[in-house]
Amino acid sequence: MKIQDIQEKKFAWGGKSFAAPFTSKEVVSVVGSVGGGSRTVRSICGTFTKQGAEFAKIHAEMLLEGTRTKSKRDIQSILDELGASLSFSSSPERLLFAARVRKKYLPRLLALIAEILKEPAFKEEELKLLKKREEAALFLEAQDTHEQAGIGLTRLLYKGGHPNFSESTDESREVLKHITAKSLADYHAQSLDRSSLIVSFAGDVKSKKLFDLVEKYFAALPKSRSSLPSFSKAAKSSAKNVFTAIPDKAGIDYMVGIAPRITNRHRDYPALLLGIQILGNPGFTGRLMRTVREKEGLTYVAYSYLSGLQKKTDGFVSIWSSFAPQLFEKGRAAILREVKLLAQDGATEEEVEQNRKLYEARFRVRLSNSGAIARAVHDIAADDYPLSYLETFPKRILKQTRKEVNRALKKYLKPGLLAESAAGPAVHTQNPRIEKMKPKR
Amino acid sequence: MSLKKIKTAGGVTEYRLEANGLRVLHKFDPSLPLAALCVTYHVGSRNEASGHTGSTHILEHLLFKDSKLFNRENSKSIATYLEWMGASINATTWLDRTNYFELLPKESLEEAIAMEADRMRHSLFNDEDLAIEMPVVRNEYEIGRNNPFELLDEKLMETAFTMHPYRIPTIGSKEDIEASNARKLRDFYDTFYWPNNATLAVYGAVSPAELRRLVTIYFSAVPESPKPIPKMALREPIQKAPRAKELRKEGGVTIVSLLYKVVEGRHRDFPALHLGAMALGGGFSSRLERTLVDTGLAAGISVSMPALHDPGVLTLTAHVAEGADPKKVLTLMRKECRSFKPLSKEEVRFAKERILSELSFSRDGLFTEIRAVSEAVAAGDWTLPYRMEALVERITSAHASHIMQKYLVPEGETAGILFST
Repeated sequence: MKIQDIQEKKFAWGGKSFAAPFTSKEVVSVVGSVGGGSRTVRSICGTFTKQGAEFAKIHAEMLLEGTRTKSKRDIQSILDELGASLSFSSSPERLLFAARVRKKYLPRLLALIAEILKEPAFKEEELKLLKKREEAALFLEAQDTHEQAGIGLTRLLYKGGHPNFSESTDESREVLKHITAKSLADYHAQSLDRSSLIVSFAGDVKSKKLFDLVEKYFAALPKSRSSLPSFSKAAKSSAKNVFTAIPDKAGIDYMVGIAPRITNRHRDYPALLLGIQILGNPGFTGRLMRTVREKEGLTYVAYSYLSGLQKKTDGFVSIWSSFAPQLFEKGRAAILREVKLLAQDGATEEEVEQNRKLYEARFRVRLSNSGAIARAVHDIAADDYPLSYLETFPKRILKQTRKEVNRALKKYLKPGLLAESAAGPAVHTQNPRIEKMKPKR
Repeated sequence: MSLKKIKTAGGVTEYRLEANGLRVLHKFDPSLPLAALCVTYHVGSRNEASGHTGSTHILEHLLFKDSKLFNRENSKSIATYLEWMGASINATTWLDRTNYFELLPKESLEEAIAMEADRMRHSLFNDEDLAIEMPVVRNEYEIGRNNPFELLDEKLMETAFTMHPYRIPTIGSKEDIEASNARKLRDFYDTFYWPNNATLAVYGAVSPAELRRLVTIYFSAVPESPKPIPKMALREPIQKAPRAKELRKEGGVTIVSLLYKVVEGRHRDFPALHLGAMALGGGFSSRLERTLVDTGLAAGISVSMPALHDPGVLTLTAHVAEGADPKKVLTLMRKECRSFKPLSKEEVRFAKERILSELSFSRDGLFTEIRAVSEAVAAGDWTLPYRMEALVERITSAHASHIMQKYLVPEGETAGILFST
């Protein structure tokens, strides 16, 4: 796929659409969004929900539960008739939809999405059922060692209100109790704004026809003027830890992280991204996998990520691993040792060179199906980058020097200030640092 | 020795490497500068003997250790060498097969083919490698035990099958995993890892001439197995009465599953069963979605009916909603299955559209397509995904209803509940 093959359309009413032709015969993937999500929830319903994430999630999920003229069952029947997949979800700043359908049914699917956005019903009886399903999902979340370790980590790194702060499962349960159909309908009416619409198509597509369809179905969406509330950057790093005890589990999920307090527009971002890839690139080439798994055999997985960064949002470094309870102490020490080694001594010239090439090649390989392409194009548009970013960013990565990478690692990856979160069966240890990770539940 | 063309289907050509019986599947798609490669060995946990469960999976891990030409000493470590070139590389083990696959820039394909050919017969794993890998495998075992859906599914398979190795989870039993040793695994490798027990699939920007060149260079020299590959001949005795299993786990998740014995993926009844299963629990407007999810009794419903090599299972799973009675959920699920009402024309039409869409989606991208083909290879007929469309189109509501009524019977049923305590 070449960037010049992707067509872009800006509509007079403010929305944007993209069409990326791809080899997938008959299949079209759609990724779209409008302004919304947890930050908008906080802006509109601030006194009701502090973080907004659970409310935004329920709002998104309720959209498939009926419109003014179509019951939930009508919507389900249409999707089954078209053989289409369609889901709504939320991010901190957007209400997202994702769909996949055969080309011949795309107009009907777009008409349905537009109707759902324009005229959702938010019926009390459907909300009641959705709440029951969500309660069950939250029970599952409470038992999920990976989820709980992740939630624990972001709560150590950020204060409430930050887009990367996670609501605890208990907080989500509490918010869920208070959501009403009226509060969802009011929020929807105040937040939906056609000028924020982005729709990205990839697959067996022709741009002119698609853009006409977007104009036809989405131009009549309402306009609104909701604003996003401000938030504080992550607090300055400090060594903190939390252990969420989940009995009757076979293994412990362990996450360690730090918030470097930079956005993806910061000049150090590409260098830090490359440094974090060197540490724990998902796959077998990261240092963590080569040592903690391949040499020491302590875990099945040890990856590191730089996530949650947007144009105006500072993100965080996280390292994820999983251990048998009896290996937890040893595994944790091995992870911390590798972080310290990389932060102190830096990466080698060979590692930087290999990882530059790896990033660029991976980028190409990743865009190998219509869903991944539609998602990538949508995400760069949603973060206010031009389409050319798909080409310019890998080139920037290729230019990063060892000096820049190691300077970024030294500056942001502070071994003494890491936050640690673990979830799983309680461990018995003499190690005073692990002892401090007292079970919270 | 040549690469002999056997047949074509869905734009894929099957060849046989005459030197050693390796089956090769090729699809030329030059639209992206990428190639996907998958070696499927016709050995899975169904081939494991009692006391050796988990061997196929452990061996899969060890095949990422050194081989004669790709090793840490010459800086060509199997685990990392191709990944540095941008490849997505991994492997999976399941009931009927073990597959090793890569998606990579096309210029790296030759290295990938060379590596797969080398580790087919020249893996150098030893006890030291196994010692390092054992905690990794144990950790994977523990991750699986942490998942309540996986846990119940395994217990149900163990209950549903009394003789056939499908009763044993691919990860194996903890005792067998712990007792594993390099010598036993070497025997297993020497029994099953031969070109005449494997299928190589190469899709992407690789011309037929280039494929012929690469396969000939790297695979022609790999010898055929000196002995015939052992066949797994165990047949599951006919089940004569419903079975049930109950589990109790601390925590907040309650799950109900209902499993029925069905046919192997190549069987002529399979497409109609697939369609019926979709109408029962697969679509947004499926029967169980309406009976259980729309009424607030379940948080979600899923249906699974993989096309397996031997007679397999249709499994319906309900994540029970908070406060709902799991026994009531099970009763309703049973009622829908045992008294399977004739499918309406609309239900059949919807199920067909969903299956046809899934088939189209399974060809969206080289990686997705090659992995779907690997499953069909394991089921014993690689053309299945390419023929399924025509097979499904022909099914009538009367036929699908009859087939569902034939298989969803009490004597083929195993029910399971995971209670939260």
